[in-house]
Amino acid sequence: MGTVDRMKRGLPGGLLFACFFIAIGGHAQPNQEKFIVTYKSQVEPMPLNRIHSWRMRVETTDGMPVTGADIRVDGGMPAHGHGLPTQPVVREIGEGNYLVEGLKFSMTGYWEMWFEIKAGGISEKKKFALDF
Amino acid sequence: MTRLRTGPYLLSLLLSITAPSSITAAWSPSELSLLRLQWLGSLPPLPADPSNRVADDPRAAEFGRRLFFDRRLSANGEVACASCHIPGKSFTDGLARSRGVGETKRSAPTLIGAAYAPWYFWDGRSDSLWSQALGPLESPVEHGGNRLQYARLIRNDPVYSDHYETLFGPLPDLSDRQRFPDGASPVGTDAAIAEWRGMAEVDRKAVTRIFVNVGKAVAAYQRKLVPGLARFDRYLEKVFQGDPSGGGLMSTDEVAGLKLFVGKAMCVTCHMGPLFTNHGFHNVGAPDPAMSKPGYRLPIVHLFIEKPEPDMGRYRGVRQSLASEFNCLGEYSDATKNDCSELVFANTRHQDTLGAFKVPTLRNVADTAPYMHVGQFATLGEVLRHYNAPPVAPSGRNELIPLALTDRELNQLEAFLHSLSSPPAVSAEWLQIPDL
Repeated sequence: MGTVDRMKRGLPGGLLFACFFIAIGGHAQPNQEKFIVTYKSQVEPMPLNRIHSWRMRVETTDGMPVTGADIRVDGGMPAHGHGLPTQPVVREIGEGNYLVEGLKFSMTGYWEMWFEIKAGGISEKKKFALDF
Repeated sequence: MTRLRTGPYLLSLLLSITAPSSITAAWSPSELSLLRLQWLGSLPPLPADPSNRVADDPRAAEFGRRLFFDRRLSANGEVACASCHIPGKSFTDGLARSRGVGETKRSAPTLIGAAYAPWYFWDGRSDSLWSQALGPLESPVEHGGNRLQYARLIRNDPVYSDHYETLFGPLPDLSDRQRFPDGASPVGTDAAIAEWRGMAEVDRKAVTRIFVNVGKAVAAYQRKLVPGLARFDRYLEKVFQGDPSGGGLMSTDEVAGLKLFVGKAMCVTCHMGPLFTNHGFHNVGAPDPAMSKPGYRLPIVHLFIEKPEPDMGRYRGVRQSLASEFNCLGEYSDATKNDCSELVFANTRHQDTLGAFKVPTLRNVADTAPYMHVGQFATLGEVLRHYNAPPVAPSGRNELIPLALTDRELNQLEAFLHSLSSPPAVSAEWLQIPDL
């Protein structure tokens, strides 16, 4: 758990609103990892069915902040074959930190979030799992 | 008489002997958490509507109530908001396609609890209650009138002009027929549109501002229509207080249906929360009447008759809301950009919106037949059978997963849905035509 993306588990309990993070490895194998991505919801516990933002940090594998990254965000519920109810936007707020705005999880169940990060000619796709 | 009266007691005694364990359902901790979320006691206070500065002004609600029931707000003097949103029918009309001055494309949804939604209409083409109210007023098949006609009504009716000016300030003088020609309208015939475009921009905006404020007052009224406690809520209250029988307020079948609703049938996935909706848009593959017409898929037929356009649902609706002059970001909204995140971050993607329609509330669902966006299903039983064995969607991809519920389980779900009825939690005066 957590070996690939070292996700921050910033979500306290609350039976339904708790998100059980499962690191599922994304597209890169651990030994091929190019970026370390951590994120934290600006609203905790992470709300169900409410628009909110995540603060995301991108670092190189040796811990240096990644600035100027082009980050694309997508997500959805594979079991239902639909995407996010919103189209979130990522903007840089400096020092390797980014704000993912406009996130919303409108249903209980298993969600996946995908981030494609491009910086310095390197590209990596990350997949995070959330269970509401 | 005595013998008749003992009937129900004998029946309940019999039930308590034959099926006590079912009525006193054992709810697991996770089920209880889900149930608490569905309970009306969990409904938060009505969220503010920053796009409507009179949303919570009681004077606006009173003005809006008068407008809501006023048939003069139509082309033929016969159609009010209340014509399709009938208070005695949970603010629906019982029709598959609602009828105003003509026949509409869709079924009128209930207004009870509507003020909690971020999007309006089955396809979400409006992003506020007030902008929703404006659509039917200028629709040629609903109220059939136009904004200049309504502005004149407000200006010329002394009660309305009083209400209006108290809330929104002085009304402009609309008596100059050169500046405000009777036939001018941004919707309708080419001639009407041409006349409208011929008006000075400042005059068009003055008229539109009155029209918008009519919508804002109607919205203030509709915000009063919050749901009252249903039998389901009273049952849960008892359960939460430690009475496993829930005061006997729900039958064995209803309780079994509720268990399915939050469990195996997965209804709660979308119909979640105390209003039984996530306010989202989903493709559930309901039949599209346009595509069900004979010969729809035979190209040769369309050499002779126009091929009906499939209903694209949210795909079209989200584009309309983004383009609307009456959206949260528009000049007639009282909101700032930060208040408009639903619109700013709206998903427009083809794969997520095509054939998707708004998830309706299930409160009062037993009283609001027929069902789905064009009333495709006459009964709850038909709806449930559709969900149990979802077909290929007419447009886009059906998100439903087959449920394989038995007939008995479907009947139990249906029984449960009958426990969700309640009038709105407002005094009776708000549900009837005011003394004008």
